[in-house]
Amino acid sequence: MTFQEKSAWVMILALIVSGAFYGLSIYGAAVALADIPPPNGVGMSIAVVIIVAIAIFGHAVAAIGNPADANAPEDERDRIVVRRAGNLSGALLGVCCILSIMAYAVIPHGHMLFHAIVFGLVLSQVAEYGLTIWYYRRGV
Amino acid sequence: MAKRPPITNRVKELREAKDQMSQSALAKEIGVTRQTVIAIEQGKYSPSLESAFRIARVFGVGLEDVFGWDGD
Repeated sequence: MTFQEKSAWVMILALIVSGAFYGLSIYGAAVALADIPPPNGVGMSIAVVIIVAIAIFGHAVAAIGNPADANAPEDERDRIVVRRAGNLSGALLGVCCILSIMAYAVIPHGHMLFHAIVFGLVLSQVAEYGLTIWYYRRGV
Repeated sequence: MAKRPPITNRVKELREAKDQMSQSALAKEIGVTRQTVIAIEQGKYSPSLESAFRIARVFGVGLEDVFGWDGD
């Protein structure tokens, strides 16, 4: 497994854990308010800290396991994988943004727009890392 | 599922015939990672034209002695 693939696994884990944390905090607030809650700045800050902590720890463990791979520069296959995964995840982010704007046109609620965009951002990043793993495993 | 490229190769066969050359050594010679050499040998990745020429030169053979076309 390449270091880039290990990195993608680490980032997927980090995004899922922090996304779940933030999503649950918003869900709890929505239940308590019986309305769409405002953005949770503290919860988002904690989610970012979770991502950074998991990313640093995960990458350190992966690098210690195989320092030569970790220090190796990207080669031609790595660049193709990153480009393809990035193209598709970028398109997904665009679709999520358009759907969020369309939803806002029907239900003009700023908090809902914010949450929808954040959800789209997390989803597109998970898709990017998932596609990276897919291309490494299945071939490009 | 990603479509497998219609290009076959004899990289593993030629590498083993060259004094059991390791995948790491071949990777270093052509400037890619060992995982990319593994992917090439498994037919999961078709190298760039430049890398294909580098591989052929390492083994001292022509391009078509290393790579073949298995499509329509």
